[in-house]
Amino acid sequence: MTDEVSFIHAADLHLDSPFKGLAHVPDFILQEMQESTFKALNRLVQTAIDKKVDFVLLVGDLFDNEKQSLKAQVRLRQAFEQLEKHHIKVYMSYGNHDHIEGNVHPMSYPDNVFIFPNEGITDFVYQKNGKDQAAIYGFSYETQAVVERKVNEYSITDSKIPFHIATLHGSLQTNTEHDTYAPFQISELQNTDFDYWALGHIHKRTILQETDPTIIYPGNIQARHRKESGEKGCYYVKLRNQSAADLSFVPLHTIEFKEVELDVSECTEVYQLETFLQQKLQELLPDTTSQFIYLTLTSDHQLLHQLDKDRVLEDMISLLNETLMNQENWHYIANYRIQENTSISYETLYKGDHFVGVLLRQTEDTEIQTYLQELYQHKQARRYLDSLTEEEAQSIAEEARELLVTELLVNRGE
Amino acid sequence: MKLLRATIYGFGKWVDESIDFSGAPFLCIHGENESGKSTLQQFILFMLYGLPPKKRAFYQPKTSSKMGGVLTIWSPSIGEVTIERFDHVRNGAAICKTSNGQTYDEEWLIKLLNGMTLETYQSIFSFSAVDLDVMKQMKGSDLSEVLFGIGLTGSATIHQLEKRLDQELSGLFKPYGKKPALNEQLKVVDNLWKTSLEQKQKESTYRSKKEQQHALETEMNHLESQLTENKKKEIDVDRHLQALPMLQAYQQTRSQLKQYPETIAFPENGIERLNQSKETMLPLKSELDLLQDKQQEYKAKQNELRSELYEKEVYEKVQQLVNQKQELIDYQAEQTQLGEQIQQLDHQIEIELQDMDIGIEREYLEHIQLPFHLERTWNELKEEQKQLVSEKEQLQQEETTILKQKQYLENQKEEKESNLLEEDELQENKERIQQYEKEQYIKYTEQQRTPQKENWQEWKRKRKKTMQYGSSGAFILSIPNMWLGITMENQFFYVVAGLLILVAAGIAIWSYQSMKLADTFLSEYQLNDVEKSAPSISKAEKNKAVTLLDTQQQALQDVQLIDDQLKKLTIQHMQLEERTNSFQVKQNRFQDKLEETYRDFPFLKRIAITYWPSFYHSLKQLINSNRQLQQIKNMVAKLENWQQDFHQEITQFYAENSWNTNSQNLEELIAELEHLLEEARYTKGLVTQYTKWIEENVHRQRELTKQISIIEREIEDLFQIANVTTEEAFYERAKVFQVKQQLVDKENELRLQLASWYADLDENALQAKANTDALLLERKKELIEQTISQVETTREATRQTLSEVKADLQKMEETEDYSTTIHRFSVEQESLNRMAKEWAIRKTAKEMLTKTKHTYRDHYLDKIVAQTSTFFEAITNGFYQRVFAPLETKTFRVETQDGIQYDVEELSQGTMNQLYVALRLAIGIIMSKKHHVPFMIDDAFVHFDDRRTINVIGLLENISEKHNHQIILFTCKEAINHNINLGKQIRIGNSVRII
Repeated sequence: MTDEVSFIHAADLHLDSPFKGLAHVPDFILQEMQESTFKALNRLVQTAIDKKVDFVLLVGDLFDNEKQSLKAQVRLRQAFEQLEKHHIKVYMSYGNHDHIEGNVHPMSYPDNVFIFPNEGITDFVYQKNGKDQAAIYGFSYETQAVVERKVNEYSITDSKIPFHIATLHGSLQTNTEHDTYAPFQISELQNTDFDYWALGHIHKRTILQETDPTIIYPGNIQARHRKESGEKGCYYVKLRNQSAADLSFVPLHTIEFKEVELDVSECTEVYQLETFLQQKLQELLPDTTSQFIYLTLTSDHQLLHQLDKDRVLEDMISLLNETLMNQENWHYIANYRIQENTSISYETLYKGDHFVGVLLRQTEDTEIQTYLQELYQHKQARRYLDSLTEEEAQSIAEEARELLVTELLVNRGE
Repeated sequence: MKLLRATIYGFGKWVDESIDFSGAPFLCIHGENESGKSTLQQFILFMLYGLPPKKRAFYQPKTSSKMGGVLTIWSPSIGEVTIERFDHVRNGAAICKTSNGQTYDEEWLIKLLNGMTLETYQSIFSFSAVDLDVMKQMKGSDLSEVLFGIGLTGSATIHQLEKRLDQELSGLFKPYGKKPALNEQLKVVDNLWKTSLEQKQKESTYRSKKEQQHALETEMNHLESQLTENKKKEIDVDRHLQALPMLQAYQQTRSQLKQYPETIAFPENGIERLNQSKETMLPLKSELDLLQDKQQEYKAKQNELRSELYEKEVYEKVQQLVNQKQELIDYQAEQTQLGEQIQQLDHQIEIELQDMDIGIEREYLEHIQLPFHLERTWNELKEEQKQLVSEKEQLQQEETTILKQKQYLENQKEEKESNLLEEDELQENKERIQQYEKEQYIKYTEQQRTPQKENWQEWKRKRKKTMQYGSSGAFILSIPNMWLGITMENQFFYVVAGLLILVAAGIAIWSYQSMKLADTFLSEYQLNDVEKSAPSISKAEKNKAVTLLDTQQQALQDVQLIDDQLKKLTIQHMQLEERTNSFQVKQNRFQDKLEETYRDFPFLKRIAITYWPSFYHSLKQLINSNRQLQQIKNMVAKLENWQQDFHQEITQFYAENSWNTNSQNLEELIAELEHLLEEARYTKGLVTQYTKWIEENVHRQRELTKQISIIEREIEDLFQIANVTTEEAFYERAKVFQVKQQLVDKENELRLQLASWYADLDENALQAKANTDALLLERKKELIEQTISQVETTREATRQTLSEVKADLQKMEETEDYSTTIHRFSVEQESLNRMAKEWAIRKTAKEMLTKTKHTYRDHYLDKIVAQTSTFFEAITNGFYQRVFAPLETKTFRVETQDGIQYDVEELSQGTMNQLYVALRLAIGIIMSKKHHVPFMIDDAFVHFDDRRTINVIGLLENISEKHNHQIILFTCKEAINHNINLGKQIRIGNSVRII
């Protein structure tokens, strides 16, 4: 008989962590946002039950210590209890966001849950029909940062066991987006004898290597901001002797983030624009999942700017949102941006001796932070404001320049 | 750059017009209101910068389909360039042509304009009275700022923008404010943050509560085990108290048993067994008695039944009679059927007799005899009659025929005879012929021997022909007459045929003689050729005589023939009369036979002889039917006789047995007999049944006797075991045995009951327990109960606390307050960040604007102010000599030739406008060093007095001359026109006119 194990591989659940970058959402959507990580968790549990998997791997960052709610812990426990009813085991580790020392609500979980207890590599053996079937290796973050290279500490303990699965919450060294926790290089993982490297920490789903060994970042199970676009979920994995791992991605998310860019050059009047947007969005947006839309409108002429200045565009988006929200799977335009290829030639203006020319030359490399201290260093406000990144500062400066030029030239005399 | 010419194909009210801008750098275009000055300006701008489709549509001429035109300009670097634009060509895009014939597009034009956009152009090089009016709307305190703003861009936009940005910024945020949007949002976020902290604090007590829960649960476990222990003790004491009477009873029973002997002989369950045997025997005995009684009863009943039956012979006779019943039924049925047949036949005969209607009675039918030959006799009579009739008819017909022929022949004869010639006539003709022939002969012999000879030969030939035709014709005619004679057996035809043959022969003979005569003449010719005399008789006469002779000859022959025929007919008639006589005799004989038949069968008179044979058959049929009817009637009579006999027999049988009956009917009698048989059969059946029962009864009696003896033996055995002989002694022994047994049972029962509590205790221990004092036990029980009550109270309190803690924990687990707050906080914080960004953009913009303003001022202001001073001085005719740029706190200031300084606010409206014009001109001149484009000024001098108007015109003329800068002034004021010296004037109105 061939040996076989099946399991769910998920990571970065970030249960009950708030979404970022969304303002002014209606209450019902806020409620759905609040429930979304739990819904994803429930879907994960249901998937495990439906697929009759042997066990579930949760590779770190199940919640955020910083804003850890009791609800997150309770719901997690309930999920584990449900899995226990179906005799599905859970092997979990804590990551940088839910490191052990920072846990404010320690919970006792049912007996089917096995937690990697500390920063040393530990292994659990999964038994099926009284036979050792798989060894699962891993560690938990005790403190917030584990910066050592952990890969070298992994070693197979009993080679008689058919399958060896390593869990690792850490970052690929080339990855610059995240803090480099427990860093590793693909080649290091490739040189091990493990069958499967179950990774966590990076929210973007990535298959680093299909087979021998399989190396996967499953991504998070529910996107929480604009940059986490696309489907989110877990991997359903089947390992068999002498054959490649059988991998299938299972979406779990309830809310998706989507970037939409529309060229509205053909609209020269307000009503045209409204109809156009209505039509295009209805065509573009799928009816299968709820989505936050980040809309970029491009145009060859200046209608958009005008409408934006007069707040007409904002009203129009609100109206659009009302229509788009009124569906079982709603869509909500969370933000919009306009990009106009106006007749104003910056290149030409830049050369001019006139005021605008001087303005453009003058403000080319302005350091804007000092202008903004009044607000950003305000003793109350600075607590809640995200400090501006270089990129953001750049963008603000750019928008300010644009505003000035447009106002000085286009809207002259108003 | 200069404008040279404009050719307008169509633009607003301008259609197919040309304007020449060349000739002088300063150009004054004068026209009254609505003469198209502004449109012309728009046309120039359109040519240079284009217009969006909507605006182009606006300037579509009402009177022409064309829209567009050509503007010729002069560029210092390139020379002459024509710019061409049409609404419908390339969507209003420009086509530029240089003097060397090169063609360029819009892009090229934009480059040529050297970064000067429409907006910049309008800001710097074009101004009108409207711009001045905007200034008027400004508050006096803003004016210096406005003027400064204009100084920078050529319009008030910067100032307006700065002000708007300030408003927006303060609407968004104030460091110590409460109302601005950001401040309000900050409050919201702050509140949420505080709430979340409180909620988080609350949730953090979860851990300590959990620990408390754990401690309480341990405490609970301890108390529970204490309680269990005491409860167990209590149960022990309770049990001892409860078992005490039982323990004592057990000891007592044991001592009682010791008084009885070790064993007592008595059968197992002796009493029951004895009673059971007796009980079993009792019903058997009573059944035996019952059976014996029954046996007697059956026998008596059987005899009684037997006496009721008749002798066997009687039943046999009855059976025999009953057996004939079926015969009776069949006969009756047959009788009915025959009756129907009789009726049918009777009716049939009656009908047939009526149909015949020949007066035959029914009785006659019974007696009539039809001998076997009768049918043949009747047939012969019929045939004979038929033959007689036909014979009579034939005779009559023959007679008629003969008479008719006779009549015909006689008529014929009479006719022929009337045609015969007289004798002398006949003779005369003979002579004539002879005479003629003699003369002819001589003639021919003499003159024409040969022709004569030929004639004769001819004649001979004709004769021969006549002979052939005549004889053969007569012969042929005779053949049908012969045939008629044969077929009709008529002699007349024979005669005719014979005559015709004779005629044929006659013709043949006559012809032969004529030929012979001819031969004679021929020979004579040979002899007497030369003999010749004169003719006395003509040839015609001679021919006529010959013909007459021939006819006569013929008629005589005919008459002869008819006579022969008549003779024959007479003979035939006589023969016919003979035959008629013999027919009459035959007829009479037939009549006699007929009379004889009528005598035997008088009814035949009513029937034509022809139908007699068929009538014979009908009659025969009828007689047969009648006979059949008689036969059936006989059979019916036989059947009736049989029934009577049968009835007689039964009646006699009844009498013999001296039975009485009311039944007269044969069927009823038979039914009675059948019933008798049935009854006898039933009684016999009963007798047999009783016999069977008696047999069974006897058998059962034997069985019962056997069973009773077995039971008696069992009782005997029981007595033997108990070592007794009588039943009384057996019961005595039983009583003793029973008492001892009860004691043993009681001992066992108590031991068993005690074992469920004290299974592990031996007899000695039980003895000890039985000897314990009950009071002592009661006391012990009280003490234990007290302890239990105390522990229970403590446990209840602990349970209460635990459930409170648990409830708290559950509530905490269920509450989502903190979760909701942090999600809400996140959203509101984002709102705050977005607002902050909005603010940041505006703030940055404003700072940039301010900074640029400073830079710009630093760069251009000195030059502009100096230039403004010069121009302002020129316009005011030297009254004002200097203009001071505004400093941080001060506005524009001006200084008169007397050295007195004024703020802008202090100036009159006109002077303020003049300062504005001077400033705009100065900016334009400064700027024109880079952008050398023409000025376009539209009625900017409305508030100027004459003097200063002249000055301004002079200034413009000077500027244009000095800087070689094209200036185009649009005005409706005639006065301005008058003051132009160096410039070129163009009047527009009904037509363009150059002065």
